[in-house]
Amino acid sequence: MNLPSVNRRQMALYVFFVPFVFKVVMLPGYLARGAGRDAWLSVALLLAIELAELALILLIHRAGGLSAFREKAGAVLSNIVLVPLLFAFGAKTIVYLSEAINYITAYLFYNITNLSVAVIFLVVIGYVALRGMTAVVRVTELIAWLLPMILVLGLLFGKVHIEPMRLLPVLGDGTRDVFDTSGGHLMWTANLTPLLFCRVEKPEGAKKYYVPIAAVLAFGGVTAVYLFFVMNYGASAELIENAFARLAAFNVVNTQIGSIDWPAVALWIGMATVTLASKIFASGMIFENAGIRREAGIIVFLTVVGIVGYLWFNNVEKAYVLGTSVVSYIVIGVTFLSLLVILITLKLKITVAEKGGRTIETVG
Amino acid sequence: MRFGNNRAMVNLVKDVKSIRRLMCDSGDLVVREIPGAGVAAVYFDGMLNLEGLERSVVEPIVRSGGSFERTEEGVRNLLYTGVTLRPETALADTVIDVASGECLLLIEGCEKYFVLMLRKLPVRPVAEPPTSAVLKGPREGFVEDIKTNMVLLRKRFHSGKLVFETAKIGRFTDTAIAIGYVKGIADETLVKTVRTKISAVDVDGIIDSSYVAKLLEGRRYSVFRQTGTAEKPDIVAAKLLEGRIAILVDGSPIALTLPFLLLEDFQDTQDYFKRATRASVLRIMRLIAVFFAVFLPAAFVALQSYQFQILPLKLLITVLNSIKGIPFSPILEMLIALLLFDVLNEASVRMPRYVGMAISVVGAIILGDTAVQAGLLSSLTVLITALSGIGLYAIPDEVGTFSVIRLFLVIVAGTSGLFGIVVGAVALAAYLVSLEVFGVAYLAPFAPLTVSDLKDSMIKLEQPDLKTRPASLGIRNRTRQK
Amino acid sequence: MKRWVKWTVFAVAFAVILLFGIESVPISDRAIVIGLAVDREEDAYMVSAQILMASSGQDQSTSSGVVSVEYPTLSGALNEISKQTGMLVTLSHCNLVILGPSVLDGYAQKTLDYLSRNAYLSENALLVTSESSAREVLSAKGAYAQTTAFFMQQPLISDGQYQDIVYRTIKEYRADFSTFNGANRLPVVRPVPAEPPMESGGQGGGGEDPAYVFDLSQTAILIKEQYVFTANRTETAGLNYAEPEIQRGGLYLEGDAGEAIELYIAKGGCKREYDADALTATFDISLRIILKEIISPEGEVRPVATCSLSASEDQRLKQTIADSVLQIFNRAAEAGADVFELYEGFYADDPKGFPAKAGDYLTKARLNVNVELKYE
Repeated sequence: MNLPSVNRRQMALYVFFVPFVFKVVMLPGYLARGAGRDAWLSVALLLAIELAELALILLIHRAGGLSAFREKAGAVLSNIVLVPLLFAFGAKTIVYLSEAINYITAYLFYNITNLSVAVIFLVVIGYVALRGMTAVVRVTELIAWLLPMILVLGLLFGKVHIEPMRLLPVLGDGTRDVFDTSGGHLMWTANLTPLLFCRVEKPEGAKKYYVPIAAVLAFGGVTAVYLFFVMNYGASAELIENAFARLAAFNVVNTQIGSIDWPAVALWIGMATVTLASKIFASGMIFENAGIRREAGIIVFLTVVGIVGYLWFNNVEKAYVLGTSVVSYIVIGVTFLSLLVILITLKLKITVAEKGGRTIETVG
Repeated sequence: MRFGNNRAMVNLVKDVKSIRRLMCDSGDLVVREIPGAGVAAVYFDGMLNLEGLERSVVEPIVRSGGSFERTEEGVRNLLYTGVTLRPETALADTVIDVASGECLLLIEGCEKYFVLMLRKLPVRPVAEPPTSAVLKGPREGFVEDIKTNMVLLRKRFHSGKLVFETAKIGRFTDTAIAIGYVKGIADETLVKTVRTKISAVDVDGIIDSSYVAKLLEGRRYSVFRQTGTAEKPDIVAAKLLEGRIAILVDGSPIALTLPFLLLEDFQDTQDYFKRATRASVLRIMRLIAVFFAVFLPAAFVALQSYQFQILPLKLLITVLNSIKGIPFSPILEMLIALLLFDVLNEASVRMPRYVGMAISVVGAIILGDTAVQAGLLSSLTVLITALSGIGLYAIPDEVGTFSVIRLFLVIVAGTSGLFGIVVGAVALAAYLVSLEVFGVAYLAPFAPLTVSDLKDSMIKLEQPDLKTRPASLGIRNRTRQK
Repeated sequence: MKRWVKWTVFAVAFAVILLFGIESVPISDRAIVIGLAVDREEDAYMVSAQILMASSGQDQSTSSGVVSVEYPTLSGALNEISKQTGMLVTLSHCNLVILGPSVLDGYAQKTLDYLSRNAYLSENALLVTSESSAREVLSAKGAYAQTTAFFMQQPLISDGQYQDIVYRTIKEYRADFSTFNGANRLPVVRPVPAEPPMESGGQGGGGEDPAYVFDLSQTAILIKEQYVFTANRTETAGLNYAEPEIQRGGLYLEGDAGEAIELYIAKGGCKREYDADALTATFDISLRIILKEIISPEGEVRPVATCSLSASEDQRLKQTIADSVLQIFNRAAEAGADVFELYEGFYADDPKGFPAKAGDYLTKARLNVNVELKYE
């Protein structure tokens, strides 16, 4: 398996940005419907699950990574473990793509069809995926430069009208709603799986702290967005379809030079492309592991996802139903089960080798 | 006289015929017989140092009256020691030398043919190149003669570590190529790769260094160039010290440097002669200029067609007033304006110098003003096109590249607005980040981010703080200063 | 991948993008709405839109026109306006929405629900109501600006928030609608003929229509979809004194000796505390005051630099401020409107115990108002 190389800084940037992308668009409204003002606690739970996934991935890399797993497990077992991830990637891509297309068509245009945006988006996602994970993380490095610009513009021009009182009382209605809401939206977590499909340099010196720091910042950042969201909208938060569009520039101020939310919008579109492209790339690697050319696998997978998404989940409500159905439990289950099996296989001193058609198992 | 390596006596009549035939009976081939001596000098008219021939060759032969020992030693003793002489045993082996401008000496009865290094080609004097004029700094520029160019570089390296590996490529042109690098700094693997690639070239002829550049580039059809160019020896010397290699091509005043990063186009030689603060500001301004040049026309089309909610109301009113009555759609209007600008640009470059200035100024004013008054183009469109055109020239070497990118983005903006521009930019970024030139990432040091190289990227620190060579180039000897 | 395959894929992708490109309607073919007025007549909406009109040539002036249609639905009404004008209506620059009194009675939330879902209309668009029909207000010519929508926005936003004008956006309206009581407020705009009588446009050369200025000193109080009453200027000020931030305002006081004293509020705000057990809310209002003018009964102007308020004048001023808050509180409580969101405050104080005993908390709740004035 020819895994692309990613350094610690690139991995850290990916870990920082990806948890944001699809948790700040429609999810805040969804979580507010279930958990009310405690939506920020719901998302904290989802982020904790994502951190757990990251921990497993880091342990796998420390134990040798996917290529070591492939060597140990052999072709058959590795396919058994990895192929179900295609389902997870496919389901997530359909839901997130629908969300992204809805955002773009509803907020950036006026009366256009989903198909136009979907086609353009899919072409670009496919292109970035074909370029590989190296391209994905390097594009993230480039796009990340927009973040300081957004923060500066927001601080200079943003007008904030928040009421911290709207957060109180915390857990006033108990914890059940919070847990139920998190549990019903598992599709929106565990998005770091594509990091499994690359080689990461061994950390030395200060570099070993990059990823944990990025993870903590992502956790804090997303939670802070939710806190800000609830403080802004209070009980009407559940009516907000797209929190990011509303909050991107702290109330969207029209200054003399124009609306200042566009750097944030450009950052979001870029990261959405990168996030989805990384999932498609990972799917391509699974095909490669199964003996199919990666490029062909990517094109086929993307076409299937696009067709299924367009025919059956072509609006955000249907995609939401998919995202909150039993499929989300299957997706999370498959993701964590695959990671655990890979880790256990790497940790155990069992090698499954194939020789002349017979399976030889040696325990050392 | 037979060809090849067999020894035989020189027969003047036959060998003169043979050499004429080998040179395809070219009209500018001169055969000058020295009467009574049985000696003939063969050379191409205008390529020889005639004075040297007279003084060093003809005079001694005439003085000897034709009686001298017709051996290599005898000839060497006869001619002035200032003449470099190379004996050959086969006539065919002298063809390239004669075609290169040297003189072939045929001596009746002698065993060997003699090539006399008396070449004197017309060469442009070393002067400041017109495309790299500077306010401060060296003003020497490369010329078309490779030896002069090598000397211009050699005189900047007195340590003896500057190495030139020479080769000749081109079946019909036999063009001299020199690969220059500093031993102990340049990556040996890179040198070997370039050497191998150049050795493998089998082509009709090389007219300019750009031919060699195309042969070396990994992605020939990419809009982005993958080899650096420089017309000044101080620039090339600086790049050699960073660990790059240079390629000089005979007949071309433009040297190539490898590996090439896109960042190099945003750096100017004069940045190193100015204060670091000023240099940093200028580099950032170049980036902004290019950013606006490439994205402004597309953004204007997108804002008119789709995302006009971004425009503040006062600006919106200005835009509305400006475009009222224009018969074309925003994308068509912008494409027409860009086309007009490119046509004007191309025509002004090709026009004779004396009329070029007048025509381009009048043409620009008349075209722009009349088109606006006729209601075919809006004044804002003309303004944006002009700004974009000027901004492109902040990076003169990439005008063509960014011009194409700009056109592509305008089309994308016309079909899908700012969303199209953003995803188009993402796709372009994905293309650039995966482009590698001899193993070095094209967008280094930004992607992959190499923090130590940022000190001479968009910002520049003062020279004493540039203690290490760029890590992105993958060279081992990174220490510049201690 | 082979080069020809790459080029083919690129060409196909580019063609697909062109083919599926989004059809655009450029701004020259759009009706840019800068102000919207919504009334309700029988079973239909009467929607009026103030549309920006471009001028050609060197003249860069702004002009606008008002187009009105009647239609059963709001989106349908906007479509009708598009048909009438021949241009596609867009609300991207609509920063003012006027809801007529007929809309306030049962249709405000429905109207705003559609407008909120319109992605182009910013939720920071100003929301006002009117005494007469919203259409009349929008059609009235401003005395100092050609475009009513611009003119009306000035006192509401650009110079900061005056303490006797309520500033409301769509977002804030919807946020308050979702509170327990659903009490809400909207500034009431009243066109007042400009004196001396001016022609519209302010320069005397605009036309023969009379010109108006707009009074925003009154505030409509609503509970959910129902209009309840209109607060006067004093009560409007009382509402604003209880806000976390007051940016500016003016106060008038009659001095002990009958002087006319004008003061300026530089900055201020209110901190609230709630005691759910005692059903008591305490508002601590703090204002920075600048003395502006003192004119004696004889008409003599006193130097403010050397004057200050006496203790009794200070006390009376504080009392005036506190009374305005209490006045609006009591009036709203009688009408069942929890204008100060006391429920949310008591709930935050005692989330477990309070809901059980909430009952008719509004009539039982007590409000204490403390005013602190800092003179500069």
